[in-house]
Amino acid sequence: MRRFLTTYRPLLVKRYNLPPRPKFTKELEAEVEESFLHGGRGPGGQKINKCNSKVQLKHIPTGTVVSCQETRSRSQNRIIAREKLALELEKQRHGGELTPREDAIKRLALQNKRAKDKKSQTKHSQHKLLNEAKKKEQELEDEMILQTILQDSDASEN
Amino acid sequence: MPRVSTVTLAGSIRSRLVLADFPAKEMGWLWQSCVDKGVIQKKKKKIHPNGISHWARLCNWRLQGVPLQYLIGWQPFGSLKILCRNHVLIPRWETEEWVNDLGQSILTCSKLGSIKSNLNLVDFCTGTGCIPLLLLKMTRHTNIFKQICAFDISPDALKLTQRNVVHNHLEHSTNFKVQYANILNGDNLFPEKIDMLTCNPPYISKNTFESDVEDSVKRYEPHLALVGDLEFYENLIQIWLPHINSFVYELGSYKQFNYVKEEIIKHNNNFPNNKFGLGMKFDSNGQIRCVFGFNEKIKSIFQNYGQLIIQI
Repeated sequence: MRRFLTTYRPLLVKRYNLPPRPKFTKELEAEVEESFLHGGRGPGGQKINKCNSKVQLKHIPTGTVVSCQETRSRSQNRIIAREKLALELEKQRHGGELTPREDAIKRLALQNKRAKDKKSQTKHSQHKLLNEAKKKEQELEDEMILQTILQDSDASEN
Repeated sequence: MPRVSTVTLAGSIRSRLVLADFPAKEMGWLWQSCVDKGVIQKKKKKIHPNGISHWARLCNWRLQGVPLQYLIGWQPFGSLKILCRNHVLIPRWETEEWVNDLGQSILTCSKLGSIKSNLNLVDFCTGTGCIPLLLLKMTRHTNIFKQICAFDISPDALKLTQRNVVHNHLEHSTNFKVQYANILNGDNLFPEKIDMLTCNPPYISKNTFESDVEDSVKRYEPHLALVGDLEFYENLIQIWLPHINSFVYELGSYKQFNYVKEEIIKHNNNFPNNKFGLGMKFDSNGQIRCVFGFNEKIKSIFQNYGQLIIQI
């Protein structure tokens, strides 16, 4: 009878090889309405010194609104807002389920936890074995000493 | 001992406190600036009390209305980090916007080849030097600007501009000069023909200064760079118009724009050989922010820049 040989390759998630973050494409740029909020309507210019400005993006087909005021630089805020919008749209596309990247990150966390547990288990068992060996040695030594004492006492009696 | 009633005391304290716009965020940025300066070491788990007290002092100053940019020491301006110090006006986002647009349109024109290279750029009232520096940074791979000159009347501003040039590693890319000059009196500052003249002059008139200007700006930023009416626009028309090919001036009100427009119409009637086109530009807040003019030689940059009022 012929036997089938099968190999099993565990599908591990790698930290450096996660599914990519959703990208903000040029097509999206056309569907987006951008506005800058600077805290109210006013004269502006030299009269007011605002240290940051909020960027708001609206994706017109879905009506998703994302805003960002993380940094003091408006160009940086614009970039971050676009990343946020792309992420939000990706989430909507998957409709409540996890996106591939989120799923991979979740699995990665689980995998890391398992690896950690395994490592500590092996460490524990090795330690146990070592301890037992030490105990045995100690017992042997004790026996030897006992024997020599007994021999000495016999000799003195004689 | 004279008695001060608690009501007066409370009132005076309240008037001194100019609360920040986003307190939590600003405290975070101040903390980050302390980390960047090395006052607070992030790696050590225990933070030295001196670091904390330094940060607390900064927060306290901010509560009293000192501009955040002075406390942190710099402000992002396009892709640059512009250093800010006392007695020099902090660059505003409105300026950033129009300078960015100007740089973009210069770049597209140079790609199309519709302007000649080796332009002279002159900036009046330069302050931190943000306008010429950003234009230079955006066009540093092309050889558009042959010479850049920044003028200011305040010695603090001149020093700061020099430091900003070095800080942004732009000292080797073009012939960049920083010079002291009183523009309102000066003539023949720049002997060659100026291809592009930019300026962010003080444009808040005295009547509106008390009522419109933010408290923190009024108290801590230099009035020299803020209060002015039509002086710089008159100066532009009377002295500089024959020497330039184009100009971009920031402004704060329609009055200033109207003045420039009427003078340009008069100029065009008097000198049909050297006609100037004129346009205005709005910021993303919907306020009028810029007036720009150009003659035949440098026309292509400004075709898509703003709203054209006078065509040539």
